[in-house]
Parts: sequence; structure tokens; C-alpha cells
Amino acid sequence: MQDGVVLEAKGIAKAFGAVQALQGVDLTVRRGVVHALLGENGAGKSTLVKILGGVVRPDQGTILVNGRRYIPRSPDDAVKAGIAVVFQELSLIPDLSVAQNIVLGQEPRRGGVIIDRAASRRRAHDILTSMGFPLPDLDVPVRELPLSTRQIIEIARAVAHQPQILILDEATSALNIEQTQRLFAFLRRLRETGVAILFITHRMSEVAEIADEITVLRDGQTVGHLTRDTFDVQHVVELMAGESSAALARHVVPQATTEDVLLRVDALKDERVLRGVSFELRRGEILGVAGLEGQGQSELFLALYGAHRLTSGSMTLAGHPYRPLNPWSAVHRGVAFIPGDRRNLGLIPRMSVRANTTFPILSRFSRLGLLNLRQEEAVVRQLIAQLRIKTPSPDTVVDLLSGGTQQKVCFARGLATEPVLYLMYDPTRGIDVGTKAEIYRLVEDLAGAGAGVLFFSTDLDELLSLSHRLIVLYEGRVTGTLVARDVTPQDVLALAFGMDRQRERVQHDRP
Amino acid sequence: MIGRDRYWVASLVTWVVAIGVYFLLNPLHVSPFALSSLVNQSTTLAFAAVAQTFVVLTGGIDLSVGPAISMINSLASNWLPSSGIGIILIALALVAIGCLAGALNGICVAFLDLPPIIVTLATGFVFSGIALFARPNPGGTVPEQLTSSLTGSVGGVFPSGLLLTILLFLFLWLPVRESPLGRSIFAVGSNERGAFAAGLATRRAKFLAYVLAGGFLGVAGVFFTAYTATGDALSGNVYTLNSIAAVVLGGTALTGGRGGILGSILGAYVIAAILSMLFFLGVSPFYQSVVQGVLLLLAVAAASVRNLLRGAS
Repeated sequence: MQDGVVLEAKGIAKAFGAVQALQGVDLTVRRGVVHALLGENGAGKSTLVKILGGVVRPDQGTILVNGRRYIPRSPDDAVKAGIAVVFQELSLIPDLSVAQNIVLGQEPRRGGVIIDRAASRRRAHDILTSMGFPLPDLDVPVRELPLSTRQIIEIARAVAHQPQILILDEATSALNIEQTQRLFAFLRRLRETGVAILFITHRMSEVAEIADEITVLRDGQTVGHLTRDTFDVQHVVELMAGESSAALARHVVPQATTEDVLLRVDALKDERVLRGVSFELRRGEILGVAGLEGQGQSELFLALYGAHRLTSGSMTLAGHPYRPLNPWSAVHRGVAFIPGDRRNLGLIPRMSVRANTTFPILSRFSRLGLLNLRQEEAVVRQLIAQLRIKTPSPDTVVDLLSGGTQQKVCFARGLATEPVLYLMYDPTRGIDVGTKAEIYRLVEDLAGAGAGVLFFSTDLDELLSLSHRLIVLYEGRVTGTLVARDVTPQDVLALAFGMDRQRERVQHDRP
Repeated sequence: MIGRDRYWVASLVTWVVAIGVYFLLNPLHVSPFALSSLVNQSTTLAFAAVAQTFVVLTGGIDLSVGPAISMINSLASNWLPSSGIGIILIALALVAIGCLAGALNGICVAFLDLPPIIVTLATGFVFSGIALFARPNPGGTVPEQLTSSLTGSVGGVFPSGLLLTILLFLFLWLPVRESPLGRSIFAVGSNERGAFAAGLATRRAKFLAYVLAGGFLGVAGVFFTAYTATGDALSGNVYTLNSIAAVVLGGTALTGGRGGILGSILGAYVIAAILSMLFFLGVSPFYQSVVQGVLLLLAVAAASVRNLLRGAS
């Protein structure tokens, strides 16, 4: 227990079938310290977290918590040992209320039997308030809340256990910048009370901002340990990527685009969120969409893809009226959708790379209802090579691939239809640095070849570096159109928070 | 690809063991006739299980399997002529009626967005009603030609029922599996939202899965008629739950998207073989269903052990 070590893991190894996920991970976490765990996708971070959380049992290695041997058999054991984990996949019960979810498993009871609803609500309220996220309605089922709020509730549930060690596995992935800041402020307060925080993120800026110590994993092994004083982004990236140092360099500012309008969107409205969205997207242009969570961006993208009902407004695509009834008709008009939520929207996880890639173009290979598998395979192999998809074979089930590779499969499917318009909704969510760089290059190539790209991202740096122009959504309207080259993150944030009405008018007039 | 998943191996092993025990207990039964009778006991269930599989693969369940077979059986006992080409025409018409019955389910599930379990429960009542209307009392005549051709053997050795099963497997299932429709059926069952977002015609896929299922129920009904050589508005009803059991034994996931008809056919053969074995041992029918239930539980347990071993990561 010297130096306030609260958790010490040594030589942790774990294999899933033939895949060696972890092979000798060491990790030492101290009290009152924010400890960042970094590594590319597939480096073993999530497996390590699952082991610490009692979800997965290690094959080898020892873990000490407060100097005592720690062998959790279930998440319940972890909680008892003072370890609370917020996993990457949300685990809230959709039909239970905010308060019920937060106190789940430790409900205050009256007379030891009946759940005390009022006390549950008070407790949930106290926790959320202490975190800096007071919610107005604690009785609403969490299924009705936006992803970012659910993520906060998930963290609140972990905090409710009053852990000694709080583990956050990409807990900020759905949060906007302002929410992330509030969360960080809370984590700092929590740190003051002596709680250890193990923090996993893909955003280097967050690491620089909050981490006191850093452990880097690569290929299931610990490859480096740094403290705040020795932290250096370039060094960390090198550690994560191994010998081939990945290019994290800020993107080259793209060239100006043609004036030919590909997509014209005029005064789109739906029943609740969109209140008259208008913009133009040119051929060969990457048009960024910025906005805080829930300002209408997901509704806009889904509407453009025929998966969200509009009440009024009009669209033209390549000069012709465009009003897709469903994704099928959107695909047939040359529109491709690349979602960040790969597992639910992007892919059929239990089917092969091949099947996932060719869904929209099967008619190309079928004669009399039968598929020409050889012809199909040739196309799939070509796309695998083009996108450098790391898969053992075209027939590998996509569930077995890493997040970044799965995302490339989504892109492969989009490319297969040879679309004129790409709708990319946070396509780099939860993806490692190397794959991100490849995706940026791909997006530029697609635009360079004349396609239009509508690109939304929760990562503002990414938006600014990749887009030609940028539209900012606030409360269901476009509050500004910016030329990405000329603006700073502060400009965008101001519009995104609906603060800068004056500037909006000025920017509007500039094409 | 989908077919490379060896989901059906467990049911094949179980079947071999069951058959082995059966013939071990009664070595005299090893004959073309015994083989033929085993096949005939299995075939109706095999087709019913195939029908159930199409629906289960889309993530649904079909409770109208039994009543549909009863309905086909009752209509068959009224309509079938005593001989001639008319037998074939009526048999084909009955298969078409099966497709229509499936289409009714399909419309309700795919286009009206009603839950499969309720839809098929309701249409099951409708089919039962039609069956009772067509044949209030058991009986009717079934042409000898139909019975001998479907339940006999080709060349005195190879059972016709098995031949029919193999032909349908080779010339219907394999092409369907590797077709846009087959891909869509698996995709819908695996992740309906994702399939929709990928631009697949998800409603059409679900609808056609039910129509295919109905067609197989038509075949099951005709075979059942040939096998029992009579019409009965109720006796097909056992096939609802037995078909679900066969699907589960065959390794198809009830949550949809994973499995196939090969496993279900083998599952049906397992159930029929075990029932024959118990019958031969003189076990009372009450215990027979107990054994069947235990077998089903073991199959489900085996499947989850298999998943655990794979490492749910």
C-alpha cells in the first residue's frame, strides 16, 4: 500500500479462442489520481476493464486491491471490492426511470422491504447534482432521453456505489464539449476525495487536460507508463502505434470546391426537432455539420436517408426533387449512409464481411434470384484491398473484427453502391488514431472524385480540419454557415450554443 | 458464409446416437422397411420444422403450423380424387393454399407490423375453424396412389419422403440461402434496424419468409395426408410445438438470424426417432412427452454451453 496504491494488476493474460486479447498487462493505480488507459482499438483496454469489473475472468496474472488478492466472479464482487465500472456499451434498463436506474440494485427501502420511491428520487437527485448534471425529471424512462444524458446516468449509477476506483470506458464518447467539461470538473472533485479514476478515451486533448498518469497498451501488453510531467502527445502516439508512428498531424486544408450544387435542402421541418433547416451542398464538397447533442443533426441525417418523417420542406438532389420514402429508395438515388452506431445501424453483426458489404448491390450479382458468388467475392475482395480492411477472409463474421475495421466495412458498403452523396454521421466514433487517419484520407478522396459529403462529428477538431464549409445547427435550425479555414473552435461553439446571432447574419451572406 | 456455421452438428450427433440405440435394442429392425417407416414418421415434422425455421430466422415464431397442416389435411381428404393426374393437381393446389395461408401471416406481420406470436395464434384459430368446417368428423378417402408414392421407397430401398426432403433442401433451400432474399431473411432476423438502414426491403423479406413457410406447410399437409391416409381436423395440431422443438434442437436461434433448415430437419428426425424408440420400449405416452421436454432442455443447455465456450466477448 505504499504511495497510496489502490489497485495493482500484474501479468494479466486473457485469450478468447485463438485471439490473445491480453498477454502480460501491468497496471498500477493510485488513490486520488486520474489514470488514463490508452491504446488503439484492439489493444486490450476493454478486455482489461471487463476483467477488473468482474465480467471476464483472466487466464493468468494477479490483481491486488488495497493489497488484498482480488478475484471477482461477477460485477457484484467488483462493486463489493469498491470498483465501479461504466462500460462502453450502455447498460441502462430502457423502461426504468432515471431514478430507478441510478439506484438499481441498492434501492432505499422502507422497513427493509418496500422500495422507497421518494428516497430513491432524492438519492438520484443528490448524485446528479453533485456531478453537476441536475436533471429536471427523474421519473422519465431513460429510453426517451438522448444518448448523452443516458451516458451521464450511467456514470451516476457507478458513482452511486461510492467506489474507491471508478472506471470510465469511453464515457465521454457521446458527450459534447460542455458536458465533458462539467464531467471533468466533477472528476477533479472526486479525485480530491481520494477516489482513483481509471479513464479510457480516444481524445488526446482530454488526456492532456485531466490525466495525472497514463498507461499505454499495445497488442495486449503494457508498453509505457507516463506521468503528467513526462506527457507528450507525439510520444504517446508512437507508443500506441508501435514502430510505424501514426500520423496524427492536423489535416491539410482541403482545396476549394466546384460551385455545382448537388443537394439543396429547403426549410425542412419534422414534428418535434427540425424547425426549418436549409443549406446547399456542392459536388466535391465536404460539408461539416456541427452542433451540440439533440439540435436536430441525427433527425436531419435520417430524414435525408428516408428514415425520418418530415412534415414540410423540400429537397433536390442533382437537380431533381428528392423525397426518399425509406433507405431503400435513398440508396437507389445514389445516397449512402455511414453511421457511427455501427452495431445497431451500420452492420448485421452476425453476418460476414461479404454479406454486409453487398446488401445494397445484390441485384448486380443475381440472375433469376440466384447469386453469382464468385462475381460477388471479386467485388468484395477489391473493396477489402482498396480500404485495407483487416479481415482474415471475406467470409469472416464482422462481430469478430475490431471497431475500426467494422467501420471500414460500413464504408465498403457505401462505396459499393457508387453513390453521389455520402451522409456520414460521426463515422470515427470510438475508432483508433490510425484508422481515423485512413478514414480522413478516404473521405477526401471521395470528395475529390466529385461526390458530396455531409459530415457530422462530435469531435470539433476533426470537423474543422476535414470540412470545406461548416453548418452549425442550434435548436433545429442552421444558425451559421462558416468557411472552415477561417474559423476557430470558439467561433463554432458560440454558434452551437446559440450565442452569436450577430455573427450568424454576417456569415450567412457569405457563401 | 452463413452455411459455414456448423450449427447443425449437435443434432446430427444426437440423431445418430438415437438411431444407434434404437437399432441396438432391436437388431431385427435393420431393414429397408424399418428405414422407410422411420423416415415416414419424421417427414411431416421435418417439413413443419422447415416452415417454422423460415419464420424463426426472421425473428418471429409461427403458432399456426399445426392448424395449417390440419387444414390442408382436411381439405385434402375432401378434394383428392381417387386416381389420375388430378391427384397431382390437387396436391399442388394444396401447396398453393399453404402459401396463401403463409401470405396471410406475412401480410399481418410484415406490412401491418403486428407481433408474429399474436398473428399466428389468431390465424391458427382461423385455420382450425376452416379445418373443422371442411371435416367435422375424421375420415374421408385418400387415394392409395398418393400414399404409396409418398410413403413408399424408390427402387424399394430409398424412402420417397427422404428423397423429397433432400430435393427440397438442394433445389429450394440452398438457392434461397444464397440469394438476395435469403441474405435479407437472415439480416432481418439478426438486426432489423440495421437491415433497414442498409437499404434492404425488410418488409418484403419478412413477407416472403412467411409465404415460403406456408408452402412448406402445404407440403407437410399433403405428406401428412398420405401418411395417415385419412382426414382429421385436429390431428395435425401437435406439429406447432414439435416444430419449435425441432428448430431449437437443430441449433437455430429463436432470436433469429442464425441457423438453417438442415438442423431443423435433423432435429425433426431426432424427435421422431426418440418417440419411435420410446414407443418400441413400451413407455407410456405420458413419459414420452416428459422425455421430449428433457431433451429440449438439454438441447438449449448445450447451445448455451457452446456459446460460453466460444467466449462471449
